[in-house]
Amino acid sequence: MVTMSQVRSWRPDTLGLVADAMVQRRRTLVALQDEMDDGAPPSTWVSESREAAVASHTTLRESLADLVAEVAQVAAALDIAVDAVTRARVELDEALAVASANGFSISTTGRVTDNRDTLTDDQEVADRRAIRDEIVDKIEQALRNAGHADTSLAAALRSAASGVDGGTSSLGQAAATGTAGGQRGVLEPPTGGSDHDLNSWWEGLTEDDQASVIREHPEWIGNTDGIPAWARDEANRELIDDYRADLTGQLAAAQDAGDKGLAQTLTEKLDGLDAVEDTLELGNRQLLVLDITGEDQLMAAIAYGDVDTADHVAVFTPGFTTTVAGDMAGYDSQMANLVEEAAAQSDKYGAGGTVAAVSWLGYEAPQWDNVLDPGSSVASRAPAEAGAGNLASFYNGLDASRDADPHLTALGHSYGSLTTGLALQEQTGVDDAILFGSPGIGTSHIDDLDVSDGHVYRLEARRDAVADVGGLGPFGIDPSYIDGMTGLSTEDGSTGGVEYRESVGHSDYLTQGSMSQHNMASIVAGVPEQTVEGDTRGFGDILSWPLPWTY
Amino acid sequence: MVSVEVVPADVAAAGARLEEARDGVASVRAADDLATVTSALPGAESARAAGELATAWKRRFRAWDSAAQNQIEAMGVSAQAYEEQDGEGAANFNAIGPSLGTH
Repeated sequence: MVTMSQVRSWRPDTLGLVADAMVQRRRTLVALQDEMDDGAPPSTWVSESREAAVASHTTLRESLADLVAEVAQVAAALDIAVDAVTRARVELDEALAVASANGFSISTTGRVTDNRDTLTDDQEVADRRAIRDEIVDKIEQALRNAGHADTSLAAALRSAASGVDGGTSSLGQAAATGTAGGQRGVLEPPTGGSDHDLNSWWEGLTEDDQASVIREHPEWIGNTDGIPAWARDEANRELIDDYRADLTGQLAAAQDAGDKGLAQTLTEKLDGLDAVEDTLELGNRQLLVLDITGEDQLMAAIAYGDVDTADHVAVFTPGFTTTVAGDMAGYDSQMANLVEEAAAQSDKYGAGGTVAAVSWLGYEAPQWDNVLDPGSSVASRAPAEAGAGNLASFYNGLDASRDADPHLTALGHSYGSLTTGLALQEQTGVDDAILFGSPGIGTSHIDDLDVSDGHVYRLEARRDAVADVGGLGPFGIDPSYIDGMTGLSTEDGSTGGVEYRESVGHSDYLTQGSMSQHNMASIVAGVPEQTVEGDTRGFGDILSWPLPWTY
Repeated sequence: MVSVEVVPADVAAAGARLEEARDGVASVRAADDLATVTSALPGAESARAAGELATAWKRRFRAWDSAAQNQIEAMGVSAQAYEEQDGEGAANFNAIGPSLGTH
């Protein structure tokens, strides 16, 4: 690992002079092709001795080709190193500028110190910590890039020292071979890095390197939180055919082995890939998660709209019995409708911001056929807990991947509201949360959620029995009784001169033209004043009433 | 009996062109350029690698130059021998032909 003081002592402009000189050396050598050709034993030399002369000339010519390839390799590697070291120096200078402008100092070892020592306000402490983290990120990224530049150049130089085969063709061809050898490998993403680290790594790559990662290593970034949505989308699309071939091969093996259960799982995953492709073909979609490694299910997330640029982003997490094969198309359609409704409200009542929504099926939701399995049953928190970590990371990654955080709304339905509630107990950038048809959110206290007061909403429709089973399991009390949540109406009514119809049962909340969809769109669009509050309670809520001293 | 048919002037001309190639290669001081890498990147791994490469290139360019010189001289001797006495060219060439090892 290179140090900050080392990198600051490096002189990319001087290195550039060497790179230019080496290019000139390469040109000089390649230009000797005619002299070498003319210097071969002539055809007018017919004797036994000519054979020895030709052999010697061939050795000479090929040795020169090797030298040309070495010089060309070094010239190419130096040229790339100049750019990379220059970028690293600029990144370091930016870190120093941010530090200086905000009252931080950076030691020669890279240690960042806040020069303001009396911070009392929690918000101020958080803000200072965020600035410090930004400076540290920039320094780490600069040192990573500088280190990669150094390592790559050293490898190219040592390879040249060991000798490069310039081939038996022309000196020009030898130069081309050497130039290709001087290209460095792309810096791999930092292992164990935060979403901010991963974003810094991505942004530190050149456009060519980014294109190379998408083309040659799409698995590095397809599901990596902190990477911009456009890049994740391109990477995951690159992977679809590979995944299909992989699953098809596994399916054939399972069928040969007579493993019907595994064959069924693999068939469903392949059906899921079909559903993903069908959805993508509709256009204006981004494939943000595609994961075939789940034990039972394909996992995927598809956005409607542009997550990189939307002012308002919603992430919807569904629940029990959800699969990509069976439900992606329907949820995607509902998210598209929600986005259009939210965008209309944003235009009419808000600042006219753009909207995107993600159907996040990035966890293995419980299914009927494993309802008796404690590790994956709908009656257990285990599947939700397993998904909550991924979901919280996904939320954070959305913020980390953009220059400006979007207004971010978490939507959780049914068992997905438990997954969402658990995810929101971690630190995320979620601004509003809407939990609907919820059997519980993993806590009985709203303060456990990392969402500002007054920004957690719940909806319960008439005859939605699932929304009343809270308290029966380990999910926390029925959300209808959690203090601090704002109830939104699911009943019919009119607002803004528009009639909306009632939602009934467990699966009607996102129906186009319903009051519940209108209310959710208002929150997503950042115009909560357009919501209609309500508190639908039925007989089930009497049964789920929690005894006050029990939670 | 192998037939011998040589135009000594052509052999001499080829030797002269090879001499031009040798001069061209000799003008390339790539190993010297590498010293600047060390000063541009103090403490870097690539600075150490540049030193290793400079050593390797000095040896290798020198070896190529010697081999080219031998080839040029051998061709010159052969041309002169053909000029003066047919048949001695091969023996002379083999005696002083270049030997370039692999790196």
